[in-house]
Amino acid sequence: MSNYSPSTIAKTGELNPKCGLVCRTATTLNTSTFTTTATNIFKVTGRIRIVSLDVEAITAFSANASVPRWQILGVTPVVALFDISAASSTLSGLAVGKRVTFPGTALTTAQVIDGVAGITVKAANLMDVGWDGGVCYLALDSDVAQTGTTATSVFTLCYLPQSDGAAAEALF
Amino acid sequence: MTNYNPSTIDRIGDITRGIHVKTGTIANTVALLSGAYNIFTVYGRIRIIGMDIEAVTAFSNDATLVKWRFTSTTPSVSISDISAVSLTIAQIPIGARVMWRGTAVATAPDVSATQASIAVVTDYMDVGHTAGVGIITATSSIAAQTSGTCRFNIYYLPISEGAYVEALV
Repeated sequence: MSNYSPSTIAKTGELNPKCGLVCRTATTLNTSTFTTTATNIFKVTGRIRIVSLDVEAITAFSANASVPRWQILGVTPVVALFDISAASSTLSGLAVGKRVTFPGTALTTAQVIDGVAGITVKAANLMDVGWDGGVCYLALDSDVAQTGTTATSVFTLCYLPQSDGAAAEALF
Repeated sequence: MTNYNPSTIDRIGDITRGIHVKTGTIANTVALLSGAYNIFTVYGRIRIIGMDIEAVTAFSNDATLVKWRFTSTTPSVSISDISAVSLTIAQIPIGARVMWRGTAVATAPDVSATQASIAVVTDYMDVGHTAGVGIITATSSIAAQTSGTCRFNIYYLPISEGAYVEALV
């Protein structure tokens, strides 16, 4: 194996289409992200292909029956919120290290919760979101808020740009 | 064909099929006994896009079955299968491979009887945690190998910040 530096390892991964560019949030309190209405998580410029999109429990979730689904909110042009997945099963008490994965199969396909913390199989499909020259947000609507003051998570989006200048950025 | 030097070819390989980490050559009597053998440490969260055991010398005529498992030490999570057990690896010849498939945690690895691998792996699986540490293990059962040598390979992509893999042997 080559003795790559950490930054070279990261860039090598990002050049592979099974990963793509990795965009992740900071570790964030669930009270800020798992809310009763849509919370913007990533900003998308142009059109991107989602290779994987998930949230990982950094600390255990609180005992609230949050059932998040991913949505898109168009800014340019203006498009009202619409679902790009169905809700997951309840995330009440989700264990440390478990991930909830966007499936990408259809706009009505439910998110998948890891059976075992730290082991996540490949997302079923890829999905393109956004539009050439446009701006939109990937938002999470959980219906039931997480209220625990210690529950935290990280969101990770792996994507491939599909239009000129397309990119994604985490909003926190 | 462009006249690439070997290090450039290596780097193109790492970009297109994942970063390659391999163990040294290990006696089967050490690595493929009945029980668990730790092969790789995983720092952070990685995406495994290939993993195999390659026969460096022919395996003994013992009906060993093998599977891969993952255990997280940080955070602490019990060991879990990331494959089902293979068919017997008795007498696989030099250069043949046992290939993890990654489709599901209950998918059996392929065992090739020759140096040609069919049905190349196309699925992948993420293991590990953001800022965590874990170990990938090969666990053998039914019969211990009594001769032969092998090498373990992994091909991966980093997903969490600073993620990487180290061979333990």
